[in-house]
Amino acid sequence: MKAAFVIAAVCLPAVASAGPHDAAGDDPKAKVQAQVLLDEGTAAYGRGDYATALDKFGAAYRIFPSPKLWFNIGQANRDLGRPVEAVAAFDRFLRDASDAPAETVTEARRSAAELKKKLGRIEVNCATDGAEITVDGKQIGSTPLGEMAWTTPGRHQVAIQHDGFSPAIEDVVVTAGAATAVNVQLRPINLQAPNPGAGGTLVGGDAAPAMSDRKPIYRRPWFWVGTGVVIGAGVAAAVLLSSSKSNSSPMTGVPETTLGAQRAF
Amino acid sequence: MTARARLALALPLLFAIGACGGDAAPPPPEVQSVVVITVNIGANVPELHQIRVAAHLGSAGMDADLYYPPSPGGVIQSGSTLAILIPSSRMGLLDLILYGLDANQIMVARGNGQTTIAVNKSVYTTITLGPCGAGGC
Repeated sequence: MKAAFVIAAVCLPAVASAGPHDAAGDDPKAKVQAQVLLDEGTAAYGRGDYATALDKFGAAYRIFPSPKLWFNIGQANRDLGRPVEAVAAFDRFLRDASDAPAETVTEARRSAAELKKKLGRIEVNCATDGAEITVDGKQIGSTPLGEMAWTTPGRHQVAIQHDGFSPAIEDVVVTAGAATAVNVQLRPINLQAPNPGAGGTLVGGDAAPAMSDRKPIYRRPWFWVGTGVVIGAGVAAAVLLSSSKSNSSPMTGVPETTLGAQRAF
Repeated sequence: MTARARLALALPLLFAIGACGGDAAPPPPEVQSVVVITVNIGANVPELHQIRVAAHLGSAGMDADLYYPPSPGGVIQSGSTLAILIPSSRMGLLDLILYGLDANQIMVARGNGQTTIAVNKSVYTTITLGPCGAGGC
């Protein structure tokens, strides 16, 4: 594994003038700076300081965006226990570093495949193009999402947002080795001018029913249905509160956790 | 019974139900935002006995240092969960750094993440702890 790492790490100077993806390929100063960072990252990786190595590789990429650096970034992420970031880096390396040595490509494929066995995927299906997709608050792309997003098994929150539409937020449970589909339909937000007949401003896509009759509120069936529901809910709440008094928690509504909950700020 | 009479009967009934229980009724739950973190423990991380959470709320310029559990306990398993309870008045992006402490309260692992507070709701995020390098956390 480390042998393959070194192979990729020492390739940067050759990539500098060869790869069409190397935006900074004509800047020798940037290449030297990146090489220094790469060497420092390689040394940090060699002594097991993967966090420093990742910082150095990232800095080198920003200065000199050689796609081969994704291999190094993938390895540092993998050894930091960040499989999602590692898979993304390896996939990008395999996609963009077309002239990488065969054994480095093989190692990247092997590492990516091994990591993917432990991950699940999220597939977002949304008819509205250009909506921003976030998983646990981290942006992963926009609709249409060309490929499924890799993520760790467990519960995740997927949010799809687009200007002018109500955002959709879905909680999903991802299983290793499986794809979880999130199907959403964003509803446009329509701000309608006040209707003189109805006398109100509406937020939402549905128009208000016209006030076609002038019956008093208590002569409408829904009023009595609503009253009945409120009374029923009140009785149920009273029964529940009285029965659970002995074990009630001051942190009502907090999801159950294994390590507990604490207040902040 | 006329509609007005039915209305007159229903409204006092609602108030009567609300009064049931008297002083035995518990206080209403405090409205708050919750951030639930699933802690994954990466490879080569030593046994962890406590998690320290350093949270930074940039929008309010505030920091919090929390320990889970409050006192070091048994070995923490990967996949354990913890929650941060945040007043409803706070919102915005929350930066999180998690440190894993061993039995001697030495930081031996670290991971970071970010999430956006969903006011009065729960948001879920997963952070993976990796081993600290030779230079420490």
